[in-house]
Amino acid sequence: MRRIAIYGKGGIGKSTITSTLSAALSTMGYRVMQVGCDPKADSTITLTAGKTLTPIMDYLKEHGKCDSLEEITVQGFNGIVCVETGGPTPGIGCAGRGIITSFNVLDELGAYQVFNPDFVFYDVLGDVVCGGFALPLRQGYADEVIIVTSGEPMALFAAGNIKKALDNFAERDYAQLRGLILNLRNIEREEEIVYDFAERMGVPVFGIIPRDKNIQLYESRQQTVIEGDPALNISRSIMKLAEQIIDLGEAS
Amino acid sequence: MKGLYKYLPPFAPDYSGVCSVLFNLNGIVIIHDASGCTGNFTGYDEPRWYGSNAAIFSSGLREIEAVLGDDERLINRIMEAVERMPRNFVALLGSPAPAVIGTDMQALARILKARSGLPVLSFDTTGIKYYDTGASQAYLEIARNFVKPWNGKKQALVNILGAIPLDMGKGKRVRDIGLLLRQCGFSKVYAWGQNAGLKEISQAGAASLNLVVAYSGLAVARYLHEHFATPYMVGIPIGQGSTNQFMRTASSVLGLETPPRTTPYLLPPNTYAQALVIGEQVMAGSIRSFLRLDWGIRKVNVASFFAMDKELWEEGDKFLEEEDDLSSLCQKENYDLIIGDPLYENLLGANQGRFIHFPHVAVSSRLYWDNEPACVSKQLEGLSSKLKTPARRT
Ligand SMILES: Nc1ncnc2c1ncn2[C@@H]1O[C@H](COP(=O)(O)OP(=O)(O)OP(=O)(O)O)[C@@H](O)[C@H]1O
Ligand SMILES: [Mg+2]
Repeated sequence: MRRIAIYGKGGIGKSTITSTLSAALSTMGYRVMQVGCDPKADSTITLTAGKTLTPIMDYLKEHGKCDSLEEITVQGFNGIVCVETGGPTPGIGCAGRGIITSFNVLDELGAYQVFNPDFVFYDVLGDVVCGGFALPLRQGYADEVIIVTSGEPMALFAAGNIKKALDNFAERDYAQLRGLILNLRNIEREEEIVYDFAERMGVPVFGIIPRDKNIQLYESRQQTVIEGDPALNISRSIMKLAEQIIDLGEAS
Repeated sequence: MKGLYKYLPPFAPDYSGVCSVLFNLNGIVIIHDASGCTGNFTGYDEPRWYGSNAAIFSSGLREIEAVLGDDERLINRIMEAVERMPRNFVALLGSPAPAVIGTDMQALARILKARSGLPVLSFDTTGIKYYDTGASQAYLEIARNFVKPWNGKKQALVNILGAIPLDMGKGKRVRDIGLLLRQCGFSKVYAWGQNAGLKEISQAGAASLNLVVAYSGLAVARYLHEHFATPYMVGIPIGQGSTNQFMRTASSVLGLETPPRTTPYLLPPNTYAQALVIGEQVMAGSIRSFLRLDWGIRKVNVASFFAMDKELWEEGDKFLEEEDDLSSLCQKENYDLIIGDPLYENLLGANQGRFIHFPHVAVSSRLYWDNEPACVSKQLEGLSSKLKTPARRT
């Protein structure tokens, strides 16, 4: 089982890329589980069209406790196991603790043993703002971290902060940073900027995802581009990224 | 109102259960809290605290450290304590504040272990669960960390598991059980959480028998069964019938026989038609056996606010999620005998028969811990004499 946490600046494309990657791996025959770690609970929407997925925190709010995985998981596109932690409405409560509580529920119900996925993706909200958002990095959860970034200064700044958080945790045996995914914003010299940055951080850049209107087109139908049309250029670049991620596992 | 506790005080929390199990093991135990939790344990959940030399500390967590997630200060303070006090191990426990900010106890334990060279146990206690889950984890952790491998012949050794004051009182009951076990042929009787130190615990693999006297001892008994094939027995011998059975089973493990003792004392038939025992599941179940074997009561239900294991569950037993559950159970059934902590009395409703006080430290704390009724074996009179007091309501 490979467990990968996807981090990156807010709005950079984490959920889009994670879902498309999950879809790509599932079409290659892998069992995939995607855990959205964000109070917005929108990580898996392009995988769960037509089905209702209750976020774990919503379920707990209503029922107090959860005794069954069926209540909080949905098998989406190609059997991908979809989970959303959910969390409080903006401005109240503690979103970080929401992630901790949700992960405890998944553990108690033996989710990883029951579904036994080849890949688990944790799609984690924006920056690592508090302890709860670092939870996927802990021993027992993700082993690998991939950061999604563009060449924009704020995206790189956020990526740098995530790297700093990981360095801070060095003594704790947390997840390792494997590399960057470049999600193009089409700014000038973007590739050069990001490759420079990656070199300074000492990690590779895996994929370069072009900006593509088809993403929005299929998003409006609650689909990933892989489901919508695997022959598209954008679908093919995600398939290539998926292969690189598979190779990464075989290399290590 | 659902979930509102109007009559009962807060029950002993998970960190108290952990501290209680580790109390006599000569470690440094740190509750990562602002000190209220530590005070709760030392002041209300641990009759052995005053006059003891147990090293149980609060980390003195302050707002700024919580907000900034400054774990380094905690680590440094613990390292200072380790250098000043030579002890066997370090245990690090959580409380509500670290639980909310998600302090990673396991990661801190790994760091402390690397820096101190000592075994470091960590517990994700939150103060939200009850003592029984904490104690259960603590027993498992000490077994995993300190019991040595054993392939030799089994010895006349028995471990008593679950014997913490929160369930078993100050120690008399455990000593009484120990005496019975010696009569059964066991030369070494080690009560984890009471008289056993790490040296004794390390030999657990050599035991011929484990005796579980509370829910908190079940998981570790299963663990020891799995790793050393040691059989375990669950229950406290109360009254003559149970004591006879207990002695017979315990001595048969060593291939010995014990002569049956005096015959059970039975009440006149139909003194009581149905009874309810409220309390920790193993103790309550043992009182149930006593009521059946010695008093001939056929229908006896067990109800508990604490964790209940399927293996010990009987038809009609009830897990109580809140006060109202107990009141409605008593309303629904017509118990003419109820046994439980005195603090439950207000919840039993008007048309009940007799109520026998049987204090449980995890519920009523220090209110009654100086005069716990003896219950093991022949000391049964302590319990039955209460019957002669006039019924509160009939
Ligand atoms: N390569 C791309 N081409 C075109 N549009 C994209 C691309 N990547 C992302 N988008 C669009 O950007 C928007 C934000 O993406 P997404 O929701 O995946 O970001 P996020 O990083 O998950 O955000 P948040 O931090 O809020 O969770 C989406 O509406 C998506 O359609
Ligand atoms: Mg997102």
